[in-house]
Amino acid sequence: MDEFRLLSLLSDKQPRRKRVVENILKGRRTVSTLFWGMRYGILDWLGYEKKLQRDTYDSVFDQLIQEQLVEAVDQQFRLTEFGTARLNQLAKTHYQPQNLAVGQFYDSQLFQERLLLIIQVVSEYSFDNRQYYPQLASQANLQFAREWFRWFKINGTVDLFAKEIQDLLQNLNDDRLALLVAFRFMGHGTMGLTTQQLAVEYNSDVDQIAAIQTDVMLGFIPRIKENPESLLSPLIAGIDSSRVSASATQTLAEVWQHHSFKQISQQRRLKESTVKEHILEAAILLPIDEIPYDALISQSLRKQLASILSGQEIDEWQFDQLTAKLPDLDFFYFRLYQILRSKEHVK
Amino acid sequence: MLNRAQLHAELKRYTGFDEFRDGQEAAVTSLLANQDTLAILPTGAGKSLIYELYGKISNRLVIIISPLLSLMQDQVSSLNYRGERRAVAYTSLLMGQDKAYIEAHLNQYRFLFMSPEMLVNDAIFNRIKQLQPGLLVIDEAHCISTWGPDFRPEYLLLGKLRERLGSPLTLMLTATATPKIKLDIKAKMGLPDATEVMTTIDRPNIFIGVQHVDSAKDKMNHLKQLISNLTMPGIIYFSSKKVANQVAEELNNELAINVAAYHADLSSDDRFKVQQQFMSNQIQLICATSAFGMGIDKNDIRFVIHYHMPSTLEDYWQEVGRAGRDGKQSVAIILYQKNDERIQLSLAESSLPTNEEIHLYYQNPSRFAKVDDDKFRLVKFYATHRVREDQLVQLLQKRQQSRTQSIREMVSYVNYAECKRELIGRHFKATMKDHDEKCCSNEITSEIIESLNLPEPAILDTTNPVKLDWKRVISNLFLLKN
Ligand SMILES: [Zn+2]
Repeated sequence: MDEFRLLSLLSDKQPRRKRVVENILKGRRTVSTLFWGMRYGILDWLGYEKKLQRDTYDSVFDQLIQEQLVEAVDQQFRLTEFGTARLNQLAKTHYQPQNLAVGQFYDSQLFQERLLLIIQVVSEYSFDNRQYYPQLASQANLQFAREWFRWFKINGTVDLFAKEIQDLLQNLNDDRLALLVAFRFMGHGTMGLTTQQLAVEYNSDVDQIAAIQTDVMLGFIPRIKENPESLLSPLIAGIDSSRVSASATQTLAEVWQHHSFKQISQQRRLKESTVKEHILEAAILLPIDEIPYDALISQSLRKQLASILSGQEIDEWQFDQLTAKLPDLDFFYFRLYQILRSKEHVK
Repeated sequence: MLNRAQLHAELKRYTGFDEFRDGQEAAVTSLLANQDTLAILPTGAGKSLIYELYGKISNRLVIIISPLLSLMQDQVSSLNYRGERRAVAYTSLLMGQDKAYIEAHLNQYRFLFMSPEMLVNDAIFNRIKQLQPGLLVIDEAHCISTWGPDFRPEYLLLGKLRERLGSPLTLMLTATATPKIKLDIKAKMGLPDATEVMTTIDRPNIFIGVQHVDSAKDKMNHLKQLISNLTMPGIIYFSSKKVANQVAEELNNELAINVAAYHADLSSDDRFKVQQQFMSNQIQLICATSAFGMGIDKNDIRFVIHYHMPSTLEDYWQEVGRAGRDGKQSVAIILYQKNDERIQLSLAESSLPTNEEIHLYYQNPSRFAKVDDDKFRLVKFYATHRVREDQLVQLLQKRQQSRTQSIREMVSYVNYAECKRELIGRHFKATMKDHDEKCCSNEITSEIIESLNLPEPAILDTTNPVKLDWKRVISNLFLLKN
């Protein structure tokens, strides 16, 4: 967490909530955080800094306010002109992740561990060495590497493997980035460089280096996917992780099968409010056509809401303002309509 | 029962070695005669070979109880390295799917490393019992003794657990144990008649010394002076991660050697790299907290310097033992500034719960359900094992006293004006070599270091990998066939 990161998550037009940005970085998945994360267009950053400390975050934030780079607007925050200029200036020297979205759909930790492990295995194999310390990895990944290696010996060669790795780096079209990632690899007689050693060489800091390496390696995933012949294909099998929680996915499937909220809550022993939260979570995280909006929110209600809210920015809609005219309205429908309109708008 | 020639044949067959190291043969022989054994062997004496060989000869499951997660992983790695794949660490750090994987394949492992808490789990305990382990190994067995500095309450469970497992053959391993602690280990495990195997604890090829300094600046100057006189590679130990980082950075900037910090804040990826670079002499000097070196199998470490003294003589002697495993002349030095022990004393104090904290817990344990620091884990452990509040207060008081006592002993060692080796020998009730000019000193001068005639340094790899381009990195990685 640094000045640049925080500035890049704020906007000069849309005032944003301080805690929403923090909770997005920490990966807190409450409906309210997800909803505003969507409205701010920063959902791809969900869980980017899981270990972020409140103190650290607050002190960077306070610093920005003090330097008048950020200003308060009704308890929300916006970049000042000065802040926008600083952001643009910092962007010239700071790496901006390119593959955040990939990270939302794949278990990047698992992928990186697998890739590093098989690079070591093939490297040692190419030197005919069988005695070595395997890199630290989970049992499942060690087992994966053994099975992959058996498969590889029949279906691949060291040359082909090396060529693939080389192509992945070549494709970056950036020798500096390629080198930074190549130093993460270890193998026979190649010990790589630690993030600390790279930070000294590149005049950067350890977290920044680690973030770049992770981002570049995430970018390998779509490349591998494009090529069905890839020797690396087995690496991405089973590592896709849905953005939507398993429980919410199940709820959504049941809604598609026309089960009522009541039925779902009884069958699965969930509170009805939880069932509704599942729907909202899925609606925020999934594309518009994967949610049965027509079954969930009637055309007549949509019309009523549209007429009351006409002319107002989506961010400024107030639930209180509706209840005067629609006293029985459930907050769920308000929020769902808000999500629907956000998604239509983006389209 | 194998005869001696057969035993040597098995050693050769499984490990490739022709000879046992001191103490190994006696311990394996004792186990093969079905005798519970307490082996006190110095760090680096190859303790793991004892159970490794026994496991292979008996072809039965070996359970190794170990207190430190990092240590377990290191031991598994080194078994893997020697070609034994049927080894795994079953720890609380495992992710769900990994845990499930190990549990489903339990019968396929030959060497199962566990922490005591994991063995307490009923489901896993019963599975292990069914597999009828051939050997139970208690690593770092001194952790069972409340007299010892590394006491771990979970270790107290091991005596009972062993019985419930059907009293399998047991090997208790430790590097350091005073006579009092030895008795205590055997008593708490319920094995008063266990055979003892011991070797000398002395490391005659290591010169031991203390340099008193006046200030932090003075300490740093002495450190730099020492490093310029000593032969690489070496380790400097710190109590603080922050200071380890700072000193590593300063030395890296000023000296023509590669220095790296090593501690728990590094990612596992980076820790592995530092270890491997040190093994292959790309890094010549490590600034570490005590976590470093447990699993390191490097025999040409020429010096161990303590920038902060450790909190016990036991720890000190273990860390010293990482130097000079090749038998060649090596050096161990403590840099001591008056009142350095304050760090240790305050650490000792802050890591134990206060009477007030204990009281709060006993009043309302549920309030602490989510608290997960070492202090409260300790209280929780005793409370769930039906220890009363007043008993616990007393017990921890005793423990606090024994820790303070250990730190005082360490200070006495540092200030001891006579032969330091003799004092170590007295502490462990062990015979040490007589004092000579390569034994010890209370002041470390360049002349003294010179007179030690340290062996030629290991060949250093000073190529700067950063000057490579990435294509070279890749082609170095794979020995390409074309
Ligand atoms: Zn002496």
